[in-house]
Amino acid sequence: MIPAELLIQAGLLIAAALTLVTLSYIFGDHPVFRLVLHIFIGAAAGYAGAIAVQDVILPQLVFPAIELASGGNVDLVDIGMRVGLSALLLTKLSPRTARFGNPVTAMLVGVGAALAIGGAIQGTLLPQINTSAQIFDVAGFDLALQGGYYGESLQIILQGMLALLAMVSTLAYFHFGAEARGKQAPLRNVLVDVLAWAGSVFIAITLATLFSGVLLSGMGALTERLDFLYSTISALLGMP
Amino acid sequence: MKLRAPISTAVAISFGLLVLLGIFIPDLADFRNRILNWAMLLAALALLLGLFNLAQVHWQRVRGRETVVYSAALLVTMAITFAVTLLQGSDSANAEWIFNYVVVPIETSLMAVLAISLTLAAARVFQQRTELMNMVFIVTLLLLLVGAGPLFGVELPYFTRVINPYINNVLALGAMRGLLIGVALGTITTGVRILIGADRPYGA
Repeated sequence: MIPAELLIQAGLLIAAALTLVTLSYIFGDHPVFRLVLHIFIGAAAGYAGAIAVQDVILPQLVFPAIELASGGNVDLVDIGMRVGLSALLLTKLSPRTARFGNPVTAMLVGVGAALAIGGAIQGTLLPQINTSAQIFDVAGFDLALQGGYYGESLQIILQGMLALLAMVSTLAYFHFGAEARGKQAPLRNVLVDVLAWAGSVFIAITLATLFSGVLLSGMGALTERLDFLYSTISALLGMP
Repeated sequence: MKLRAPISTAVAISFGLLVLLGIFIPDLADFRNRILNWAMLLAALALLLGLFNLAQVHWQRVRGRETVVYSAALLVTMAITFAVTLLQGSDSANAEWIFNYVVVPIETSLMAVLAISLTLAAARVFQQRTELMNMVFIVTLLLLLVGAGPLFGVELPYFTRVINPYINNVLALGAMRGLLIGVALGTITTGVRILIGADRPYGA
């Protein structure tokens, strides 16, 4: 049995080495970085696979099947479907039998499509339309008007109009319908064209916002890693 | 006209419609949950099949003496992590050791490398192309970064309290709503195409 203290020390050393090698990619690709990437893929894949077996396959397939075999009270149709579907999916292991697994793949695709539709309607479309309907802060506008803050009430209207323009023009940017003009090339409606141009400006602003978010998270990660390296090396050298 | 993959198409449409109806009709909720449990089990098995395929590909590379060190490292770490996590549990000391001292450091360091790569990419965009949209992108990015927090210990209140919230809450929010609505409409269209059998991404 390895002492826990030694395991932690070794872990810190390995983590520091892996961090240094990964960060060295900044200066270009090299074989040691590729080795670390393969180690990462192996460890992450092994971990994901073990979690899938532990949390889903054992409790949903293996344990009910064992219970059935030992004469326990289980739903026969349900366990039959689970075993049957799993067996059909496992035919995908061999190219010769892979086509028998197609209906099971089709079931997964069908269920996924249905969940995506439900999720898009209930989770995105309806909430976004609902919040878009409240784009103008009516209560705040009333309050500002009653209090005589005309500048603020005007600001609320302008901000609402700008947000509305941003939303409509972004949608217009992705509208590719064009009017047929006989032998001439089809032409997009002028209004849609102008809106689409405005939409491209708003999309550039939004992409910059997303970019800055990712960049700041990355900077946070870089700071954390550099701090980790500093503290580990300081501890190794016995510095305070 | 011969229908391609009639059984698979029928299975995809019927299971998809049952799940979709189960979302909106409460009486079908039990049946929908049962189908979802089967789908969850199949998804986990599909993940294992993917891992098996990954292992097979790298085993072939080791046997064919092609990128032996990389493939062997992947196979060994995969086998050790899989065995330790499965036999001792994901909350065991050994599984946590692998996660904390191997997976997390590499993952966080890759995120840190991403930050530097993104900075270089943004600088290259600024250097190489001076189109209007690039200028809008770069100027917005600079304003957001300046307003993100104290710069060398100095806070710039006009950027942090006025410009940054205005870009995030008015300009970007409206366009983001438009993008989200567009993505949702695209998702619904793709889903409906699968449920009516127009798209069949599940083999012939």
